[in-house]
Amino acid sequence: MSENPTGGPAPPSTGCVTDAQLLELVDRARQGDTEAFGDLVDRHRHAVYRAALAALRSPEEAEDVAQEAFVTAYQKLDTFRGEASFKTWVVTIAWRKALDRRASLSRWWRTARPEATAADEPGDAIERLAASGPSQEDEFLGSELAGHLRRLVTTLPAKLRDSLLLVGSGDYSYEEAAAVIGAPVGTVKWRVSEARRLLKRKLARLGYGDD
Amino acid sequence: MTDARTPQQRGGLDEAIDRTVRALMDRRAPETLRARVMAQLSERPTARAWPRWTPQRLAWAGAAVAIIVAVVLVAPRWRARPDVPASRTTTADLTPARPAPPSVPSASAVAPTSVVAQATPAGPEAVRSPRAARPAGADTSLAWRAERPPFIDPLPAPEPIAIGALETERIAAEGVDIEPLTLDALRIEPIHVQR
Repeated sequence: MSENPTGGPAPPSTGCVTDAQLLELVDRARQGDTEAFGDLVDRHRHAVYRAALAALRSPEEAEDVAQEAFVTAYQKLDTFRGEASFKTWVVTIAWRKALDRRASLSRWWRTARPEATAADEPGDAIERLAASGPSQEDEFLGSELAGHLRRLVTTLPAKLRDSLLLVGSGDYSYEEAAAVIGAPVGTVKWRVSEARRLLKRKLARLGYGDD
Repeated sequence: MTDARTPQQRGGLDEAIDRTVRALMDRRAPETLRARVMAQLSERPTARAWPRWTPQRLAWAGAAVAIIVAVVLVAPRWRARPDVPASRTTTADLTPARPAPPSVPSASAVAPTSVVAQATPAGPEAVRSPRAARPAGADTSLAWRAERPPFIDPLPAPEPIAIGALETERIAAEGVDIEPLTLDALRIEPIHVQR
């Protein structure tokens, strides 16, 4: 059955499938069963896509990276030893590919001018990310504070921003985020805390107190 | 409608940050991702598309081409450059001060100054051929050739051989007319001076 199990809003990417069932799918995919691999793609596509999105902040590029990551995962299934979960393994592939792409010259140029980019391009990725229909979140995002926060998040150091977005997405635990980033769990926790502290300090300068 | 409540009323800045991050990441992968992956996997493994020319790849390619051009064009010229500075390449400068090439004896050391000197087995021919004068086992690698300055005949222009002041005076007194001797003449046959 290859029906997409993730029909609801932001569900767990693996649905109700147990680890044993996932490993069975992996084994079948190793033997050349592309349908089984298609099921794996469906079950993990959101997690993979969001990891790429956290690194690239561009939906289009995140889609490309997610596709490349799944293709690479299929080609390297033999190297998957099951020491980590399949989700962590494939998300790590996507994360590394996303970092490679981010390191390209064009990405460097765009991220080096985050404020100019946000100001020059009305259809900036962050802006488009927020345009997903009217909801309470959208009303919040339409507020002045949300506008400041969107801009300030882009100005965070990359390591802090990556950890904040990965953990804040709700798709990954601290342990999973640490495995994907390749840093100790404590380091990831510190980065998230530091990112929050920097954001609040910058908001305080803009007149938003927290007490 | 904009929420008019203060951040404190909405749970503080931490809550605002959480909601912003959730909103930024609240994106779902396209439904077509599986189809795209399957389509790419169904292609022949060897039929890989050319990589897209990103600015970074263009920069690397340009750097590689520049390095190759530098190696191919510049390196040979650098290797073949003469050791003698350009300011000393004129004949007038080279003649008195130029050091002898490797393994080539200087002209003054080889040129015969008397009849006896011409009887050496090697003769002046050895002087004309630096290769012949090179000792056995000498370095014949390209490095030796590269160190050689551009070839200039090591022999100076033929000049009359001085026979000696006394000899000249005596010959002049006896009225014997002697032509100036050259190396070529000496090589052909011994000179017999008539009294």
